[in-house]
Amino acid sequence: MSQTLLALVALMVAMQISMVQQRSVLNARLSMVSSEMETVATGAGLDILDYIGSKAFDAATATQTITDPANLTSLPFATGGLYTDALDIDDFNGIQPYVYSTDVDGIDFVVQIEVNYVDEGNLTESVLTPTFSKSVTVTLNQTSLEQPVQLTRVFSYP
Amino acid sequence: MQFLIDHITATMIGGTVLLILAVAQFRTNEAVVDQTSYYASKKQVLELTNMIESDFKNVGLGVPPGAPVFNEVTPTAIEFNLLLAPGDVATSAVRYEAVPIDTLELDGQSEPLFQLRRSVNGVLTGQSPPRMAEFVVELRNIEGNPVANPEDTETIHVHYALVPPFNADKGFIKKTYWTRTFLAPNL
Repeated sequence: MSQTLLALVALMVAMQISMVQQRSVLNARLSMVSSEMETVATGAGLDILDYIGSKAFDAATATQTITDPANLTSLPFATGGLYTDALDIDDFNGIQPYVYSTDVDGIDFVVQIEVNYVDEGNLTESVLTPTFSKSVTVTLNQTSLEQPVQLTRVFSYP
Repeated sequence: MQFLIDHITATMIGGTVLLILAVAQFRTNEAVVDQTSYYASKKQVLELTNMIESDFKNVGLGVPPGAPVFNEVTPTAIEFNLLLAPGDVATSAVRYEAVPIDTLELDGQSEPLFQLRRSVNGVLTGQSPPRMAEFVVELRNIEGNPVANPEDTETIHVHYALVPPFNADKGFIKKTYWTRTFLAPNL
């Protein structure tokens, strides 16, 4: 009787070890997939930031040179626009979720963008009055990512 | 007879336990090799990216108006002019070329492997590991559509993939990708 119990215990321990190992391999693979996605997402995010940076700093600066920040678009920025319709940087704020397609095995990311004015003496601090610096935060999401990838860049005028 | 059955049963149970442990150990080893290989490949992709980015971001820098920026654009090679260093008085011709090196069986298909070579004014100055499975350079407009005439280029799309150095055909991730579209402010 005791021999049978010991044999069962040995089998259970071996199966437990096997399950732990399987879980460990699965976690390692999920981590690799997520890491790969992060790399692709970073490239996509940099592309989007470059594209945003190619637009005018503000609607007011698109056609003329201004020196007083009070002439810039006041807060809150409009939301709900389309990525492809944006003409200046703050037009990207709160756009409708945009699907960015890469040429890597058909991987797509859902992109959301937030634009804020930032303190020119402390570029990490958002402010509620117009300044000549805008921070743009691009968030890319995809089901294989453990968490969304966020990239922030500050654009300054002139 | 009972003695014999007990021994056979014990041997079978012991064998099963040992087999389970051996398989678990084998798979752990495989997973470790797979992970090591993947991260080695990723590191090489990022190092290669550093080399490529500084060139492609500055395509056309210092090229006089009217002079050609691109000397050659083919599916496997691109050559363009730019000022490489702030003190330079003349532009240099930087060339990237994917040279076929080998082939590899991936998912039952034979795929060519390349080595990306960078040369400046005809002198080899850098190269990728000889395991590049994909290399695409495309001249595009700002909307992301390919342009027929290189002089109309507004962005340069670069895409490449490296195959991990070990067990590439059996690994979980068979290629490590990098893809970027550079705005070329000097064009």
